[in-house]
Amino acid sequence: MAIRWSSDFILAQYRDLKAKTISLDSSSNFLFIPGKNQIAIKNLNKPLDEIITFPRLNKYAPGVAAWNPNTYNKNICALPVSVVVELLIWKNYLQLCPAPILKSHTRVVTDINCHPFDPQLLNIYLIYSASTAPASQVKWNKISRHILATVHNGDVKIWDKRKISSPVHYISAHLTSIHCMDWCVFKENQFSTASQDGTIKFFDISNPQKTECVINTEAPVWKACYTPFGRGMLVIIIPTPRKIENTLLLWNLSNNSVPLHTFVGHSEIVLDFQWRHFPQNGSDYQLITWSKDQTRRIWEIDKYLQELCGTGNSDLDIDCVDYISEMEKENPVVFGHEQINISIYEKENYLKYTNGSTKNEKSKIQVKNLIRDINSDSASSSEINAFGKSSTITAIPPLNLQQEFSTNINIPNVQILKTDIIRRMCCTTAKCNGQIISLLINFPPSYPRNKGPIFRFAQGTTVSNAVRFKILQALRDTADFKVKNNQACLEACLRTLIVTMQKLTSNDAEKVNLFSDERLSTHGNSQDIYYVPAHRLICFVKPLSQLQSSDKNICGLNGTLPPRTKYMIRRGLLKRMKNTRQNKRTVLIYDVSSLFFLNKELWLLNISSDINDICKYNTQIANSMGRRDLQHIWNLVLISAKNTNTSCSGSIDWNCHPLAKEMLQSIILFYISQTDLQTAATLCCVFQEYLFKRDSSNLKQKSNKTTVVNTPNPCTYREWLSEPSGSPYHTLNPIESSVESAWSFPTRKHVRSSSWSDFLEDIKLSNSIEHGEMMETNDITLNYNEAFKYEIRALVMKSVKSANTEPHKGMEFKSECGQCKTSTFGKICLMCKLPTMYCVICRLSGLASLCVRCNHGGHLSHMKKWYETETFCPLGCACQCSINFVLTTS
Amino acid sequence: MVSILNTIEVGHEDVIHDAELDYYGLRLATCSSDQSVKIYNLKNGTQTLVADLKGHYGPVWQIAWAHPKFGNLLASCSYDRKVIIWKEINQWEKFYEYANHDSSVNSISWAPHEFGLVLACGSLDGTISVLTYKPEVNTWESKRIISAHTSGCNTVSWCPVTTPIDSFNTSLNASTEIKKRLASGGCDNLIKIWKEEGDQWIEETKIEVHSDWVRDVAWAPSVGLTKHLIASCSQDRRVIISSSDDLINWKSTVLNTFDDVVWSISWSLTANVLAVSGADNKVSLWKMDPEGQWICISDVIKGQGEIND
Repeated sequence: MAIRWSSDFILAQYRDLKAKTISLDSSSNFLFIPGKNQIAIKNLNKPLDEIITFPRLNKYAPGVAAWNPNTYNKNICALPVSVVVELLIWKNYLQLCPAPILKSHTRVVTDINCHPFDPQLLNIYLIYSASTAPASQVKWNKISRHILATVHNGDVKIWDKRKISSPVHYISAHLTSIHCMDWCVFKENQFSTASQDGTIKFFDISNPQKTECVINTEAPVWKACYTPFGRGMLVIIIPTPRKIENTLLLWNLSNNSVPLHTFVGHSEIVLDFQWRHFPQNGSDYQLITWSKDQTRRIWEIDKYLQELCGTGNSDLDIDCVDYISEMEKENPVVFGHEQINISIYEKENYLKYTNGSTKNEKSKIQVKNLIRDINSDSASSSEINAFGKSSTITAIPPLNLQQEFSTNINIPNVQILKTDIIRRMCCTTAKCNGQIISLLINFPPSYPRNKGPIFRFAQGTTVSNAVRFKILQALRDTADFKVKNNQACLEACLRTLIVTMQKLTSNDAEKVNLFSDERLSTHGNSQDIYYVPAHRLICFVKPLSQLQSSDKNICGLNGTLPPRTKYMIRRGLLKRMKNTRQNKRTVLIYDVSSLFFLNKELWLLNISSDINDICKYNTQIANSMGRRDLQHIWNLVLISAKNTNTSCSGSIDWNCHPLAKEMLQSIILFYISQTDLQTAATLCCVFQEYLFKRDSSNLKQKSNKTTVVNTPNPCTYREWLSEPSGSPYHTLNPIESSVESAWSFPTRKHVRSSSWSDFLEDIKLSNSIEHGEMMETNDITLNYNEAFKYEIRALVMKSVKSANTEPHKGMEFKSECGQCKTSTFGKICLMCKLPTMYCVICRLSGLASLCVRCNHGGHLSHMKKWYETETFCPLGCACQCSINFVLTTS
Repeated sequence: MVSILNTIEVGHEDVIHDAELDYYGLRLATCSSDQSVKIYNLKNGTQTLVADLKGHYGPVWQIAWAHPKFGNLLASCSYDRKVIIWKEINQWEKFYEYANHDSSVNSISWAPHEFGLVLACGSLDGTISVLTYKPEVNTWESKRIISAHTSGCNTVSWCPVTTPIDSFNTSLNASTEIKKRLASGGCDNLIKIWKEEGDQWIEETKIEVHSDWVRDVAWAPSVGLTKHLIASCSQDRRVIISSSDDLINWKSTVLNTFDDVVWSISWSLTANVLAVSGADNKVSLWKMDPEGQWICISDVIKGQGEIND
């Protein structure tokens, strides 16, 4: 039993006790350590005294002991022993006398808790054994005297002592068992639960469905209790093989990403701790810890540490406000709007707060709560996940500011001039391309938990305002990205600074990012992307990291759970996400047309002009667009077209040109393989006239050998060009359609080797379709057309031949014989040999115009004359023909 | 090279799960966990809310615009096991509701418009249903593929109608008759190709390449391609491109193994650029170079690499 003094803690080792818990009496003088075979009491005011031990006949060390915290009956402490509770009375600071044993339970007592106000009520709930899991813990509310909570595995039940028949609330807090539950000392309705799953959750019983916020430790939490001062929480985590030290952590509840302080010293897990308070001399607190290594340590919690937990006056905060205003006076430079807002907002809060502290205590607390609520709200939204375990595998513990400052950041051209941990700021300069940027970085108190630092340009910055703005934006994006993931951002920001600076100060425009808006990569929560046909890329931002983590969970649970569970989990998370509204939902639409070959300007089809003109025109456009390859191609094509013209004048096709066809084939194939459909389609459109003309001439020669395949919808090549006579190649006349209807599959087989159409047909792959080659060019152009969404539809459609629609055969009149009423197509009725159509005025055959309603009509000149004066049908059928007549002639 | 055209603040109160522009790129539909579907008109960089469609009672996972030749139709699927088809008749209203799935409907996809109004829906109950509109009788007919993917189907994608162009290969010609085909991916780590044979949907082939759940499957638009391409992404962090000449034998190559789960992939219209997004918070664009290697054309953003590690 050696007692060692150390600079920051007092250490005492009691090897024989084998205790699991400690308890402190109401005067904070005596420490009660119930061990395995003995009970020890230590007078803390006399550190050099030995402990007083009392033998005890029990082979198990009790897991819990409770010393009445009230001054009345202050000498009584309670100890659960199997199914009963032993009461012990500490008499005269010397003796420990047994008192009546409390027997009311039928099963093992797992926890006892003394009522904080009523000394008579020691401990009521010890075991609640019902159909549900037995209670493992019980805690009285620290403010409200009627409320108590019991813990059942992962669930918490809230009871009202006045109505004990059923719980007031039933809260499913964790999926795994809760090791510790504690009521908030400053807010009546709040409590925390610490669980095996590595999270500490905060609940408010006025809104029990909602998790107020979550602290994510990386290991199972053994204990998590509110500190009696400020808004802190002392946490014991169960060491993992990976991480043995630093199991005792102090957190500030308004910053739940990083522990505030780590108590280093115990070599084994800390089993229990007690707060020792000295009401007589102000605000000093001592922390007494009991570890599995059977040592007791007493830690002085100095004022500074208490302040960090958010207690006492806010020197730091005031300092920060002063500092910001000071900075603003010094540097009236451009800030991003957002930033100004943030700083003003913070300022307001701080000012309110500082005013409050001078006025009265109450308003101070209110303001404080306000700030805290804001913080915790955003904190809960930044909560990484509800199933801490899976995330702990990947999570990197965030550095606190001090660590961050002390890490050696070595970036060329960037120098950190000064760091000030108390003011939470640092000053850096970056030099690049003869420009200097001095940057002051101010870290808000909640950094790095979801709040990035504030950047200011200091004097000596030489870059222009526009550049400053861009740099600020880049820095903010980087910082936001990092802090969103609860990572320290200083180094990343400095790297961004120098990179952005290099980019902006150099004149090389080539270096501009592919995505000029860096958000695409930094924002980056975008999880879904779509191309729409008009070559737009949609990204939308799933702003919450939760979703990813939920997915991780789903991934982790893959296969082990029935499918619906996945969505249960998903849903659970989604629910939680609903509470988070800090992010605006945005959908970003990018113009990615530059990534594709499609280009409106490059649509070079000018159907009505001569092919030479098309080629020349296209060459020019390609040149102006900087598409050298296209310029070259069009030149080539032009040359071959010219040759064709000169060598085979008039109606001769390209067959007499030795190379042109193969060249075009390979060009088109090449562009198809490059997925440059625009070029391929353009070439097809421009040159398909050669194809069909030549084909038909081939066919004309060979039609006698052709097996005519019955084609349901013969291909009509009615008008290749929009201008019938514009092209010298236009030799086809519509009467030839009979030939073309015979132009079919076997023929094409025959001419395959040299036929352009076969080339296209081969491309098409679909021989089963009669008009393969037509389809092909049409397909290419149609798809191209799709891609452009009607922007040039009219132009394209001009060159696209309809291969599968019924050709228009012209109108035929079906007339009815006036005598026998049989219908006929001819001019004369087949039955009675009388003309079916005759002029109603002159009674001669030969009809020029007729009324569509009554079917009566006549020579145009006669009818015109008639209707100049009349409105009704000259035959007297009471049809008001003049209207129809006018319509039909107009 | 790439610029932002629009930034649209959508009024959703919760996570957006899907956003899609219509055929003309003039309207944007979004869906969210807040159980609503919203439609925006986009004009000159501004947006106006056209409709806020409420009818689902769970998070809406995906939406899909039908081809405009059928009118303005939008389909949506949700956790509430329902598929709703919305139609604009003066104003947006519910056109049809399909509620025969036993579990969340994860994915929907309209068939190529040549087939008419046909919608495929993949559900967590492991089945895929194909809804076909019969205009003559103004009804929807549904066919189910039972147990398409054990333990759930995550994604469906239709085979395009236009068959790939293969310039000098004529051997395949007769065999490739245009049939309705569907690719689906699911929780059994498989990609399956389904074919409509008469009245039945039969499994034509399956691609076993992924070692974890398949998250998204995208059949490349075939115009300009020499063969069929299917891109798939998975929980196993890989994106795999499978190609086939005959739709039976698929050859797979790994595009890339990413740092984190890949959630979504999308082809550009000419199938030359593939966009990939995943849980690593990045969108990357991939393009095939002339040698057939896939290269990332967007991830080389200077400076950003350092930021994102």
